[in-house]
Amino acid sequence: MSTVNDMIKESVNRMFSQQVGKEVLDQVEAGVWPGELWQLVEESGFSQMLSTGSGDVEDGWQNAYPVFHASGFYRLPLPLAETIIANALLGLAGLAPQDGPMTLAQQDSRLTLRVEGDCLVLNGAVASVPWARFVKRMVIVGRVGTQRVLGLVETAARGLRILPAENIAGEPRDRVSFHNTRCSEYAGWGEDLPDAPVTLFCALARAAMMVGAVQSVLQQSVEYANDRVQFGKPIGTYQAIQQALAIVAGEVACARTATLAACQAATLIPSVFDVAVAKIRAGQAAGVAANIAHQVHGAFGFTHEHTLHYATRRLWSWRAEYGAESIWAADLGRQAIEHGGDKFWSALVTRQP
Amino acid sequence: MQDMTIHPCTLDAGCEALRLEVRAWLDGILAGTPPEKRAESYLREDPAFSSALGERGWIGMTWPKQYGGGERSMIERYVVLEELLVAGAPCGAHWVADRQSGPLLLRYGKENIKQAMLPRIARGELYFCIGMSEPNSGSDLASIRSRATKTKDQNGDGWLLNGSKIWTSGAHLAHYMIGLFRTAPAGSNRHADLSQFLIDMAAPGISVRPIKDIMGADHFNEVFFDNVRITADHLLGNEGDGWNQVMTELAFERSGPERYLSCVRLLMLMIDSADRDNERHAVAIGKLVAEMATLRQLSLGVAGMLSRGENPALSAAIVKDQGTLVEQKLPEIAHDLFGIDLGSRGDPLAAVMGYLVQAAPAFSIRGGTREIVRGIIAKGLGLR
Repeated sequence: MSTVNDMIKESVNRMFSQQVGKEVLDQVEAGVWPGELWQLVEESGFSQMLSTGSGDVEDGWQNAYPVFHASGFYRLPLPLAETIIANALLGLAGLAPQDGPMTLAQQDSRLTLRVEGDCLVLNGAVASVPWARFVKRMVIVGRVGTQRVLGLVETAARGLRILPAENIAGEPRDRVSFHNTRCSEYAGWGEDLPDAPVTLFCALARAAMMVGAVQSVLQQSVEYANDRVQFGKPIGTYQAIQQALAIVAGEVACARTATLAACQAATLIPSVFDVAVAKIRAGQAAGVAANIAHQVHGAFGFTHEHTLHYATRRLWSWRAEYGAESIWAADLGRQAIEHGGDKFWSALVTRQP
Repeated sequence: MQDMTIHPCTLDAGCEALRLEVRAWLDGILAGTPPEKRAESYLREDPAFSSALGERGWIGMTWPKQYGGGERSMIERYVVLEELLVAGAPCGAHWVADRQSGPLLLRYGKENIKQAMLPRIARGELYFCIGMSEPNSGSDLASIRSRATKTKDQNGDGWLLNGSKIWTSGAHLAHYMIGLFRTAPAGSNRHADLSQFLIDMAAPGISVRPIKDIMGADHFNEVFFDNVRITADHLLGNEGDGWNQVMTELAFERSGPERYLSCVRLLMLMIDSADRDNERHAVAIGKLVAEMATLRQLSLGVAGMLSRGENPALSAAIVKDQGTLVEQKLPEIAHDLFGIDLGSRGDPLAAVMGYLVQAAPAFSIRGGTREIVRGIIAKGLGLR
């Protein structure tokens, strides 16, 4: 591990452990934007961890990993991952990074893009856009005919409407519709760049966030098991509890190493194979860890007063976002079947789908 | 809670060149080996293959050259092991000697023994077995009762061994055993007073009784010791340090690539039998690819820890538990996807499924049961 990486890890964990607690989490779920918290995070430079302008992009994902991980571990109620990635994509398209919180979306069949003069114009809608109601700008990646483009649109732009919706963790996942809405900037998205960058980048970020969250529920469960006394002994002394938590430790190890491998290999653009592996493995760990953590915590962990649910409700949401395990697995599986059993091993070693 | 992070390990270009060299050599020497033979992987014994491998310098790779080793890195050794397992090479004869007995001798053996034995292990000529479990001591290894008592006769100082060991894989083929014996009656600290010995399997007083496994195969045995005399220089390490030495040995045993590649032949056949346009097939295969890619990074990460001289005991326990979970899932998923009659003659998928579904229960028993391994992880978490 490099020293830079250690410094980032230490500072982000120090900040989030001091600033993110039950109060701010409940406040955001009630619909209030945590402006002061965002200010602190942005001033620290965390929102530009993957921007081409900001220093050491060679270690881009490796250095961004501690920030995504801590966002999951402390259940950070901010569009930090989205802003980091929006800035990264702007940089890849040759546009300047932006101040303030951002969100992003990949074009799907309900959204059309066209160029009018020197302007990119949007019509239609995108669903499940993270934090749209609280951000100033949004990055859209898609196609105009056969040409690939990236557009930057102000959320205050004409014709843009936001219909609020939330995931089960209470995080904003809004529907954004456009009626002849003009982007403030746009640029061609190179053919050498990945096809669906929003999905690819956000899937890896969600994997790293899930690693942080499963690690936090493991830690909470171990602490609870050592404190809670039943039949005259801490429940953590019973083999049934120990064996269950050992399973969670194994899940955490798998999710973490798969995600670290994807981040270490990536400079700015992660490999599709690595991201698929990380998202699948972290998504599996999310379900197992949430299930066992709740079992160990008993009825206390099922109360809203307890903090366990801020992590578990996020895990159940995040594993489905940017491609559930089965979506990524179908792609990996089809490619493996196409190449045949003889090629399985060399593909695994070279980490090519 | 101990830090359980297993950092991925990057392979340099030298490793990839070595991989291609090993792969090409194996392609030649294993040509014509049927899939069901390859599926037996490192449990299949072939002394001729072991000496051919030794001749290539691919046994004892990391050991000093003065003892017949190649002074290669742990990572280079790992790459060779992966290729051997994936090809289904018959490494059974020398596997234990290369993996754990040789490293134990290197660390704890007397100089004359190291010089006499290590080069022969590296040449693929000398095979070892592991003497740990006893009929009344399985998971509770510290309760063993086989004993070593000090003796003196015309040959000088030595030890007399009495008792028995069980589930000893390859005892019928091994030239030597490294066995754990009690060197003093069990006191309040059950882990004290255990010591490891190097035992010539041809010594008078040793008898080996085969135990057939559920498939009728002779892999493991019961070994009896009746006043077996060994010389003082065959004590490994210090008297009473046996427990710690065994824990080191088990970390080697638990973290290697065989902890997740035992069923790889089956996965390859499943891929060949799957239908690309069948969503259920694609999803199941894709998830297994992700699991295997993850386990490889974990196992390789532990090899990295070994190469940096870190203690891998806890990480090795995690690799073993997660690796065996996936290995045991493979025949189940194969059954779910294809559901073929395992009695079918001449169908490689049926043959390999039939073998592995029966072999799989042993995966989470050998080298430390799942329950013991999870107990180690729980302790690392700060429970108990």
